[in-house]
Amino acid sequence: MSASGNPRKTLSLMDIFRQPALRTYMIIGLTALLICYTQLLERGSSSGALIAVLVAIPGLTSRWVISPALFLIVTTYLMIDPEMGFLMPIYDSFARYGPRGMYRANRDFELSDLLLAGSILVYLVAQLRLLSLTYLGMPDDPPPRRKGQPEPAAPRRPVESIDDRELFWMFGLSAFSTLLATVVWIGIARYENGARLGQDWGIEKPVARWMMFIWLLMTALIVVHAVLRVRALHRMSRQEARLMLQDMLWSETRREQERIYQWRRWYRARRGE
Amino acid sequence: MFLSREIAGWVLVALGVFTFGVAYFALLRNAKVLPAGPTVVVGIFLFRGGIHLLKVAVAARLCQQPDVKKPVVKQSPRLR
Repeated sequence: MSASGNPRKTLSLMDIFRQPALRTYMIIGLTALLICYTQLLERGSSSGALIAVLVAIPGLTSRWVISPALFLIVTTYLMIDPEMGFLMPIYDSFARYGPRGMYRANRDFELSDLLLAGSILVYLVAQLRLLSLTYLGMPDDPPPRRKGQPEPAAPRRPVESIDDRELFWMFGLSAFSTLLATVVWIGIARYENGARLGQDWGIEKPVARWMMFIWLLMTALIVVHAVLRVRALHRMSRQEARLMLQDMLWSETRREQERIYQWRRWYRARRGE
Repeated sequence: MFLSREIAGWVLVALGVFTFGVAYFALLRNAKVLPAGPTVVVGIFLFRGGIHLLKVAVAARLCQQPDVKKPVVKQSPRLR
């Protein structure tokens, strides 16, 4: 059986190049990284952009699973301190100019922000799909097993399951998400000018905008959580629903039921049953 | 009967989110930090209460329905 046919065996770089679909995801990821690099360079982070790309490339070529997380950490840091002056005090830019990236949040909208956010999103989607096809198709969560039994290998996603419409949905959803995020950011920038928080608390405009962004994000997450939870409840079987109701009844009337059964036990003991 | 509970659950969820909004936009932004804390707690109780009501309503409605087998989802055609 070839490596691409065995769902429990990880794929090598040569296997990736042989499969057209995997090769496509790798090229998409590398192209998105190139756009990220140019946009980070435009922000003045020359060494930072190089570090971000060098951290990300092994993930696309060598199944380095920590790559996307490290890339996000590095790019997030570069948003605050593009010239890495805080980490490399020899350049003295952070001390001289302060965190320049935070003050970029004063602006409402720029095309480079849109390009950077979109390219990061496309890179992450391509990277994670590539990892699911070459390394693991799902989180490694083996079922409970006996002592000494070997840990079962989580299968990767079969290459045959790739649909041609995947790429269309991937680019479409990425573009939609980026545009939605841009519209939300423009709305926040128009609404929150930091005047109230700056007057009462001394909080400046960029931080005030971030506070509102985090509030909006958390609110959206709890609403989505509620909707998905109710949607999952609608898929329950009758037995599951009954079990859930019994569990709720028990947890809500636990003390009353205990009291009733305690008296019944006492009465039976008295009668000698 | 269950529909009214479900609607009440969604209303409580919406009220919870509205209370979070009041805590941020009306209180926290105007430097009223102390009243904002209890308002958030009220919002959490409203939200959790709404979710609980929704759970009970959906589970009770499902218990009244006959148990039908879930249909097998037809997979999309693969080209490879």
